Amino acid sequence: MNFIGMRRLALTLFLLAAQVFHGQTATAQNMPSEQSVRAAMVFNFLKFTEFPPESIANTEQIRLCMAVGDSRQEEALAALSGRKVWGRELAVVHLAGRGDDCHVLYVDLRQRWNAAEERRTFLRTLTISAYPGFARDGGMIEIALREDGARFDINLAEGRRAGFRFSPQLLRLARHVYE
Amino acid sequence: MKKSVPVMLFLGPILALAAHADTGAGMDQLLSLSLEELTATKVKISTNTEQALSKAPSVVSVITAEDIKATGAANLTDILQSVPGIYIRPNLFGFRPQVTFRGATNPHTLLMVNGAPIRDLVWSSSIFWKGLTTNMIERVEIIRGPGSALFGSDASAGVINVITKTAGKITQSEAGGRAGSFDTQAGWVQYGGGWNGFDIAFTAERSRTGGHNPFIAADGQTSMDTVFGTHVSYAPGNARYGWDGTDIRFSIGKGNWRLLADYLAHNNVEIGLTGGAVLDPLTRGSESRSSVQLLYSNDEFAKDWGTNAELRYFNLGYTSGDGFYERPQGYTDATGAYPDGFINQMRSAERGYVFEGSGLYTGLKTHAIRLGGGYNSENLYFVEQFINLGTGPDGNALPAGGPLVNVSDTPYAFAPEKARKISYLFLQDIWTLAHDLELTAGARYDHYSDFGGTLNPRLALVWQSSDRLTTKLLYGQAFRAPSYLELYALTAASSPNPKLTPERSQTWDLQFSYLASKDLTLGLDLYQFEQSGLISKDSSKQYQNTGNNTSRGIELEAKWQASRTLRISGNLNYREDSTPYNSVPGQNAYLRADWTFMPNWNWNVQANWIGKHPLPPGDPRAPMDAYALVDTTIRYSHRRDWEFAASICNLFDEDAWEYSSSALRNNLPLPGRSYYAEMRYKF
Repeated sequence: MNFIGMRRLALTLFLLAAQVFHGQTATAQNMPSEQSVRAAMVFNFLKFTEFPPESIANTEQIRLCMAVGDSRQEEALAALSGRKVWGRELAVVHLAGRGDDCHVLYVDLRQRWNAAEERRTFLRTLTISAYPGFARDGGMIEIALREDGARFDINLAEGRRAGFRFSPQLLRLARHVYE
Repeated sequence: MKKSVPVMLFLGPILALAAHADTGAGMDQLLSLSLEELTATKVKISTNTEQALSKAPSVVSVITAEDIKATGAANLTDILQSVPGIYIRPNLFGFRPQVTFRGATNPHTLLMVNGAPIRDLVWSSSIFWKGLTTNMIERVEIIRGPGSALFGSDASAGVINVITKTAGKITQSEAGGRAGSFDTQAGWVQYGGGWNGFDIAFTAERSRTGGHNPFIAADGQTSMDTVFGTHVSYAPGNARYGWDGTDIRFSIGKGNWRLLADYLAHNNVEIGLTGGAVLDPLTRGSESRSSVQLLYSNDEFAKDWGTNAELRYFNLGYTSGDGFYERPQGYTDATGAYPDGFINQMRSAERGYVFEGSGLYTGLKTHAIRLGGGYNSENLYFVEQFINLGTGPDGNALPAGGPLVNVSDTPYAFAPEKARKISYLFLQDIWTLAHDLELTAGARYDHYSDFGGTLNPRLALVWQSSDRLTTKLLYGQAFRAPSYLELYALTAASSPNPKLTPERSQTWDLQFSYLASKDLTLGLDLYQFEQSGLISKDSSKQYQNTGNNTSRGIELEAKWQASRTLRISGNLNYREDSTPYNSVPGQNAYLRADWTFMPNWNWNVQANWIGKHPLPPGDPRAPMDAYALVDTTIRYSHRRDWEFAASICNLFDEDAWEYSSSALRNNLPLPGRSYYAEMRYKF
């Protein structure tokens, strides 16, 4: 078969196959990336955590500030923008200045957490990270990813001090709860 | 209009079926899971963070396997052209797609696969470089600007690290095939699995192509024919660029350890034109490369310490077969007549081993200190050359029309059999001055056994200027080690200079990255790239460190998620050089659109606009016009089972050329319109 014939055949087969498989539902990716899973977990934490009333009373927005170096983690968190939590829209921004207007803070590394802590005057922020030891360092929720699934630890003492209330479902699913 | 009929057949039904549909992005799916389900979701953990270039603040671009499939790129160099600052420059010898950054030449690009540089002692990238097939690529990370402070030589204008699908990364095995224009076929398999607690991955690909075989009206022999009254040139004729490729990779890993074994070969390589721009349809060259890498990576090696270590062994070799036929049979010049032509048979082989170790210390509150070192022993252990024209083993000119003579192991061979040892140390600190300000300072010292040492520092300041704007100010010095050709080899075209020092560069980058909205990111990079000590031949054809150049440029990028199903991205590049030294276009632009018009479908269109090539002073040829090449790919991808794709490259059959030797009257023609189709089965 000459090349012209081959080309037509290939095109026909291609279109036929498409007809056969058309109508399948949503594309399922291969395994999700660690960055997307962390972002999805952050979103869930927000759904199951009650913010101190005075911090969200007068605002239409919940601000999630991120201090991360990995652009893919940034993109995954930025994808949460616009979604609704507690009746308010989530705004995802980079941490800048003192971050006094952040309702939620996500950092990726210990040195960024230390730097943020030194300047922090905002004490009613939900702090989340995925580096090992975050909860010990005073963070509120620490994510730990394993190949067979994600785990998280909650520093209840820190959360309570800042006025947050974690729902019982969240506490039940946590790996460790530090009091 | 005949040519556009298949195009319409191709696009028509797709357009007719098109509808704006919600695809259900991966993130939507994850967010629809309950927290319980989420904690049970298996996650792809990146186990090779030690090879991630984006460890240190730099101007980084990332190409994912999805980008490669969407744009239909069968070769790494096809998709690299879309990265700001990169220009792919095919070379007349073998149509090698050389990767250049910011107007610099190919030796100023450091190209690595899983952290291992692809380069050899004689040629900067291999003599039969053909790019890399893309099916085994997981991700490509590209740094614009200097990287010698971490990676050593050649990382002068840019660094590319290709990360392949190694153990633990292949979640679905697949087999696939591709066929298309220029008599191109390829077949591949990928397997990922486990055995006794180990992760295993295996990829293999075989490909062949007849090449696009451009028409050459006059070549480097044409003028000699005129002068000496001979008719031996193959021009007018076609430059043949066919080749076969093999790429086999195996890896096994568990916990902190991974072992990688790779084999790459190019066979039946038709060189098309010799280095002297003479048509050579007879040569069939071949090369092979193999390597074994043992990697260790442990982020929690000890309290506050993470470590990485690598041990690698490599072996590579090539042969020109019965060629190269530098001049055709019946060649005549002032020294006499050569009934067999000018034959230059070259063979060589190298092997070596590398050890590198580094530790990351995070015990100091706001610092992340990485220090490490390595030892590299590379040995060009075999060089063989037979010639029938030029200087013989005793230093005298060979008689015209005489037999092939062995010049191996003489000072007149194309390279000496010699080893080079490199020891190096590097140190880098990422100091978080404030939560919105980070300073990176680092340096690497390399000592080469043949020409001495070089120290290359870098500094980077990253400032989170506002909640949407990130500003980076970067400075770095870099070097390129002289090659064996420049240091030791006495050839007909050049004489060596053992006193050469490395070529040097320093680069300033000011980069802004702006989150205009959640759907739009913009980037702007202003740079100044100064090179000194560039090695080139003087009037007596000896290599000297005499060249200088300063390039200044702007790289502008944008990514726009226009709707749930339509993504548009592009970049604009503008550059001025102080000396018109390389004939790399000073302007180019890229535009890409991906439209997921139905679930599981993607229609991609991309355009590369290449500006005029500046001709060097004294080049008598007509100026080269700008051109635009448009490609399109349609892909269907089901979660299980089948994937199909069809591509048209150079959709409008645009005439385009690459700047080449002045012996080629019309420069080097690029391929016209071509078609490809592929299918994969996942299991």
